[in-house]
Amino acid sequence: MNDLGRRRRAGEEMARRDFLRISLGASGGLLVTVCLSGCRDASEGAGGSAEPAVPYRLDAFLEVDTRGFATVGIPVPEIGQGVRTSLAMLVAEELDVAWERVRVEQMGAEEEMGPHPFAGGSWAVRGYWLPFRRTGAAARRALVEAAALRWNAEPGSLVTEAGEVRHPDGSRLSYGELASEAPGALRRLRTEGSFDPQTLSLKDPGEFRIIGTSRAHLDTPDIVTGRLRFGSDLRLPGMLHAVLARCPVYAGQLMDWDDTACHDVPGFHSTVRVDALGSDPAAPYSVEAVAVLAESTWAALKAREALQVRWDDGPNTGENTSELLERSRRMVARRQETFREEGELEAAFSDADVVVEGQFSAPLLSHVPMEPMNCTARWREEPDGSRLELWAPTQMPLPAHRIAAQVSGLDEERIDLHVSRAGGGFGRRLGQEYVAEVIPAARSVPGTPVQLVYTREDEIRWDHFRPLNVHRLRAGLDPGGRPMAWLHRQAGTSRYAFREGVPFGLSEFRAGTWPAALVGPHRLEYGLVRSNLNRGPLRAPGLNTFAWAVESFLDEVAHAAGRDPVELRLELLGEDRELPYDEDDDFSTGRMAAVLRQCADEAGWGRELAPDRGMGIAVAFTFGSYVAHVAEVTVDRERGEVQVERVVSVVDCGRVVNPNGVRHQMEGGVMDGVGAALFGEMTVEGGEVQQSNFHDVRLLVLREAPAVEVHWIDSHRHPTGVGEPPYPPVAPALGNAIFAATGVRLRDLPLQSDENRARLRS
Amino acid sequence: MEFHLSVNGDPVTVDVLEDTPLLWVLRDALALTGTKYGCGIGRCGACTVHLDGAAVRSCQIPVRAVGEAEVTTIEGLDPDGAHPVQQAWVEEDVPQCGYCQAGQIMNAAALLAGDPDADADTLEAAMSGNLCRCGTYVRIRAAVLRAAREARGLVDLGSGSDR
Repeated sequence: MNDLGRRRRAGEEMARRDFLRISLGASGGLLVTVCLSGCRDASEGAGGSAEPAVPYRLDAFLEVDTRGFATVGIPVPEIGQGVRTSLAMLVAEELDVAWERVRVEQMGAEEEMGPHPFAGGSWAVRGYWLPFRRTGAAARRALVEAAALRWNAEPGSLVTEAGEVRHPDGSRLSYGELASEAPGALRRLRTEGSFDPQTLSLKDPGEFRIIGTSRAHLDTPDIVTGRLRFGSDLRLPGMLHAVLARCPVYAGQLMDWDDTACHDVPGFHSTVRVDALGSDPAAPYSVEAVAVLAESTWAALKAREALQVRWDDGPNTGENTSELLERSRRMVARRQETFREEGELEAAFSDADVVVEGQFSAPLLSHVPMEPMNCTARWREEPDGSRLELWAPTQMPLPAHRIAAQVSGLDEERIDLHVSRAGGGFGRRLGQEYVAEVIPAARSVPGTPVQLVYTREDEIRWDHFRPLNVHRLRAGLDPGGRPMAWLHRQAGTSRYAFREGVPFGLSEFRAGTWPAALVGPHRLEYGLVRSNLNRGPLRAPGLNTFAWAVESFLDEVAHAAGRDPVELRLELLGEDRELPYDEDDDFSTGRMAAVLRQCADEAGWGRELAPDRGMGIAVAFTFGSYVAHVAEVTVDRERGEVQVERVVSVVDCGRVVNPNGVRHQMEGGVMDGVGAALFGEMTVEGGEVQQSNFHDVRLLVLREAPAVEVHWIDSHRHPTGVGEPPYPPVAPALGNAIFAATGVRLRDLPLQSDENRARLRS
Repeated sequence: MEFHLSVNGDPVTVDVLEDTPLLWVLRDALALTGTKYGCGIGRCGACTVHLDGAAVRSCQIPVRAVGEAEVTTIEGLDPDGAHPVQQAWVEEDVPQCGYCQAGQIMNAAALLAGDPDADADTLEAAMSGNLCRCGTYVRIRAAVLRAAREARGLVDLGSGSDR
């Protein structure tokens, strides 16, 4: 039984209705287990509700052992966003333990469904802000209670610091000494009815010792020594290595194959058919394949070369990105389905003094995390039936678990899924097809572990791409140059084409509040371009191309009106107020205005620059956080090349939990945005992806990397995320800076395409 | 086929196909998984190791070409993480996902050993074959410069970063 199973069962022994339970851990210390979703908490239970008991689900845990070390269970996969560190900080703060004594343990997938932890939506710190602090506070309360019993003292007279309870007389007891007594002490309190996890008092922010202070990532020492194991680093005794052969045309069908020649490769083991998953929304990009198993990765690769496969290219040979873009351009020339609308738009346009129009496009984009997709599986035949063990570097453990059950035909409780450290995510690992694909291979060799790896070529060709789209924008301006009518028509290959019952434009516009709702009369339209190409979420889905279009266009509008781009945005934002956005957030005009103002100040907006150098500004609201960037670029007019010199960024993400973590994500989000804006483009011809490796998928390198200056708004608000928010405003800030430097408006990403470079050559 | 290699100071014997890239010998035959696969065509630097002290892309070196050369991987650079480049990486808290960082560190370590007086531009150019998809370049730049200063003995070891 793994640690998680042990802890979960320990938790199950406690009353089922509690949100938070305290018990004796397997190591003899204090164990706090937390159930956040799917089960009701104690205070709800008090109402005598007749609702059926909901199965217990472990969402988090904290164990304080008898040496005084605190182990925090981390339910969210770590993909480089620093979640293990930031979530541990929340617990450690309220527990009052020395940071050096904090350990983390990655949690696996549980069988129950419902709201679940995943690495996406920039939500982990936001979602766990209170529950994780409460977890630490409950443990602290239990430890204080145990000390009070020992000393026969009033709990209220005792204080905690750095892993100790302190008596006013100077006596001290360490958490390690108290850990085994704490559960009993708290149980007594509970019996007396004087403990309620929901009303545990949390620290006043003025007392924070850990939250708000910079902490290095907990895993850094293991990374610099090469000790940290990623999913593809797992080495199990007797393990076989597998790679997949797939049809070069997306979703071509497997007719038959011949592995005779593979047997000439020493170490070759076998071949196995891998079926597609059909239209599962968590893996719409699963295709038919042949798995090639061998004793080493190299033998598997050589055997794959020797394999003869007959494919039926299937229905997708007509897929071409150039044609999809052309169709999108034709569609935005005429009316599309209304996504959002307000006011008398046509009348407003006819009243306008000036009408400005602009058309922008964004190509398919790949994720290319440095660690290609992989998954390891071991199928076992046991007396009571089959079992499956999986090691998956996934961003979404529970859907991975569910898909594993679907593919294997096993009940979910017969599948153990370990969440491996992932070498980058960016949305790629929200797909689960690599989990599905390894299972037939593992089932063919019961007892023997199999590790499926994608090569970089596999990774790039079978990615699920950021959708391509074309945006046509039209603004009517009043005599002062302020937009008074706004039309935003978008056509593209929405990733929601795979979903039923949601508007396709939802994934690409999100709420579409900024700036349309502030202009007044407006209409947002979306036209779906049908395509079978794989596409899915990529960092700040939808918003990353939405921001490119509206923030580039606002810059055009400002220049057309002879207005300063910062000042025009501030005028549109107007007085400080909140507008409805989506189910999670309202949109605050004041907070957006504040990041814009500070960013302009920090960057020295408006100052004189050298020739061919320019500054551009852009802003976006993403998953509850506000980010503005000022980019400064130099354009080489001989070569048409853009060097991004500096990006100044300001974020309002509420209270900053880990300044180092915020800085990290802001720096990385800017770099990602710069690389994608300059070079990012995937093309498809005849249903075949045209790029295959880093010789034709260009990533940013060190000498092209700008200096990044990160600032944040000092805030006491509930924290929101920083993984995605810095990404959307980067591309428009660069495009706007290029315009400022050259007077050339680039409207089609990537900014360094051959066409754009030709336009920049003077 | 059997090959006798010296890896991180230890003699080892591996039985692999003779065209197996050193990368897969390390990862599969020796379970030294600190060296990463990133592209297989020598374009990302994730697999960088030292061959007699020089940084090479291990995905491009067939095992038969290794011969007597001493192979050093991230596991052998300094197991305690005390190498100045590793220390600089810790000081600047460089990694996000961490997957490319062994290659970055190995490249920087060979670079500074070979030319401790390299200027910032030279260092940037020489580090520009190592891709980092998380975009930790601000910190890689700072860490390489920090390690270079230290290699020249100019840094006060007590002055930590504010990160």
